Amino acid sequence: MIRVIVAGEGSNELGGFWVEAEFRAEAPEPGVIEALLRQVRRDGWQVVDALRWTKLPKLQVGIGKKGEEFNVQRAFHHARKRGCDVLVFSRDRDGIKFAHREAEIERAIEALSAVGGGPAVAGAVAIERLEAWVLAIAGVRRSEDLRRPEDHLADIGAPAKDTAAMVALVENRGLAAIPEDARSFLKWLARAREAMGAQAAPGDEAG
Amino acid sequence: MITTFQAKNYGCLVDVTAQLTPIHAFIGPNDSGKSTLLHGMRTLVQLAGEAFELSAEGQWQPFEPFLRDPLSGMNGPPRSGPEQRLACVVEGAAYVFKVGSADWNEAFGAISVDGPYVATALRPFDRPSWVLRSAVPESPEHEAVIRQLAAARLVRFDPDALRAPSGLIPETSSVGFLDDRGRGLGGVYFAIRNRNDDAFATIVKDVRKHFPTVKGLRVKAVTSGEVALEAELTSGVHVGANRMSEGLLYYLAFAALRHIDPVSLLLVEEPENGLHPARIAEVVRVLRAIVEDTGTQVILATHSPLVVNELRPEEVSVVTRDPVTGTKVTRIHETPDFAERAKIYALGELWIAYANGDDERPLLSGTEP
Repeated sequence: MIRVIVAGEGSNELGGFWVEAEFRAEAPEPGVIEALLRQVRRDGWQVVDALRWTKLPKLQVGIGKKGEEFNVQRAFHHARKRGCDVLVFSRDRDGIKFAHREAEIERAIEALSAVGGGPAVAGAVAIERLEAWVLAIAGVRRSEDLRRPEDHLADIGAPAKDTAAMVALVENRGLAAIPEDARSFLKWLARAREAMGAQAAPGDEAG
Repeated sequence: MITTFQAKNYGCLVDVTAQLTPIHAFIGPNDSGKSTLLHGMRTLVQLAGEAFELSAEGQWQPFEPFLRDPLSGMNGPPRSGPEQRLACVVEGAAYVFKVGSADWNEAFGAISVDGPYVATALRPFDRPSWVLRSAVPESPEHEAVIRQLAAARLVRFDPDALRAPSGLIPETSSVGFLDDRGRGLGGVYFAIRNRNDDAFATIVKDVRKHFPTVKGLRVKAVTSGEVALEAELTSGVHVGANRMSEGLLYYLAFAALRHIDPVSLLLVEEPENGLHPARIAEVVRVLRAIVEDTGTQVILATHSPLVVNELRPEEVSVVTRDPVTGTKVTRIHETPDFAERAKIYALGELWIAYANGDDERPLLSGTEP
């Protein structure tokens, strides 16, 4: 059984794993990341723990942009120490103002790959937010151009704060309708497949 | 410099040993014994100083120390109860103060001593008075040891105390605060300005750098016998100590520490109080400069990861407390998995990442939180 640790912003990404371990249900409800991963590989793995970016301490004066790189390094460290095989994460870009996040996170992933060892890493920056990936699942084109993708979720039957509805949408739609302009999402999917040892099914995506 | 401090049955310190560096910080949960460690060190140094003070006639003074009787709670020689001990290793020797009935040969306990021990005082329970052991330095080596324990200053600055006007310090008197909380700040600055123009100018320059609205500082007479600090702002407004920001007051108090009469041991409780995160680093730099300039050893008790971020791994110890075994001190760089954790976390972040505010088990046992 592949042990997976998930890192993300909050309840939409992490589902029932969003709350502290002491307060979690015995079988936490899946979040969007787990639901997406289930589309990549149906079984043979389980989420064993989760990390919230905001809970990873960054307490250095003037740390600024370095925080993103630290986030990935620290999540990787905790995943390894918890005996996980795969670290899966998404990080919202949150607008062009935070465009540096993508470069920082790519640099961190590259550095971890160069060192080798430890869990496989499947992560990417969601442009602008995870909700854009959910829209892409529903076949919405140019989802990355939307400043507030969450405002459009209701149109596809998944209100912004309704994690269960988003998970259900992922489960029902699968990966077949993802437009090819959903670059950040497709990058994440490719990494997730590699990390989970899964092959892309023909016609799965880039519809 | 104290390299090892040991306490037994002193407050919540049942039996604890701490390894120290020239600047060292104790971190850990509330009520773990950090402050008691500082107070134990101050007591030990005070005892050493009082024990070997020269009289006006140039004679070494004996001393008559009293600890609180653990059974009766009254001050005075204990009539029974567990042995109490405060001990330290300094360069070249150990100094032990012990109260109890155990044999002297057991006194050193876990402290290994290569050089000569200097002295101890003990009062066996079956004797009516204190028994002094080597109460007077017997050799130049002993005197050298005692000089390392010459005096201790504990500060836990309080803004109300720092604001209070104070009397002037006579020309021939030593310069220092009137109490732990920093009373006498005005008098201290008056003395610094009168005795060391350059030091005063340096402080003003640094204050202007860190507090850009401040143009200058002066000591102003508030009554015929009392003075207080006053800041002149760039706007031309004069702000007395009673209206100064806490951050500026704390900064001035720490800056003064570098220029008052040096002690062998400076103990600082929560230096982060009232300071902007960026100023915390500056205060730690001031404290480090005190170590380097005067040879004073600086021991901190802090709850701030930002203070810890400014220290080196060997300079930080984690203090925890078990209901039965009492306070325990563990150097942070000796905790499991430290090298790996330190690669991804700054020191203060590492503490916070693995602290639980209780027994700090994730930090001390190498487990994931």
